[in-house]
Amino acid sequence: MSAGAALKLMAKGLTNVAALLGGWAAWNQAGYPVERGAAATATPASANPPGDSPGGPPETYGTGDLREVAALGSADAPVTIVEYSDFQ
Amino acid sequence: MLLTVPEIKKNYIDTGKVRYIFRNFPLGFHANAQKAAEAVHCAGAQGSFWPMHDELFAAQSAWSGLADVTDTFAGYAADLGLDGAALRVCLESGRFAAQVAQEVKEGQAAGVGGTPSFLLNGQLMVGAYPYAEFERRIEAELAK
Repeated sequence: MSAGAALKLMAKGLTNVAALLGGWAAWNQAGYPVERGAAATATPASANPPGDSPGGPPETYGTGDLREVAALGSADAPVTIVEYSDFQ
Repeated sequence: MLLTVPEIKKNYIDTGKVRYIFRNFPLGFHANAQKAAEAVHCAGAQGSFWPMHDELFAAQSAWSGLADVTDTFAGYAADLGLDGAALRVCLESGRFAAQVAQEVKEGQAAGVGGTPSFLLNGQLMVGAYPYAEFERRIEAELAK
């Protein structure tokens, strides 16, 4: 966030606040990811259903499909949740 | 692993109602996220994807600021009873770099731009939602 926004939050008593040099514009300009609102939440995922690899056959570990290893639960379950996360 | 996952697992995954899939989406400004993403697959190649996944999340404050995580991740692998040397070779060779890139590409195609994000039967959820919200959405899908 900008220094101004950071100062406003600090004035309200928040302590875990950091100013982003250059603010939101610099963040976007640098090409860093952003969480989007309504536009992104309306984007369907049907173009890439879970387990489908548009880049070709999935990498394997030698004995099993990598994609199966990274999944929990039955392949026949009526609901599929795909989590996208990084470890930091 | 997100705090909500154990509850989802107990109530929905273990009962056959939900299939839960993890995909890497390393963010560029997290210096070691790419190697962590590769490491979880390197461990998966030894049959321990989820144990390494849990270890990396649990210990992230210990490795996130390191200049080189190879030794540390190899150590985690050894702690988990895996072949640490093999994990080191896997990391250094970049064996799963393309796989991680593919996961990112697929996420971006589905509208993912940040983490954590979720696709619940294809519906994008951006952010760390509480369990109650997952429950509400899962139940809505099950009622269809």
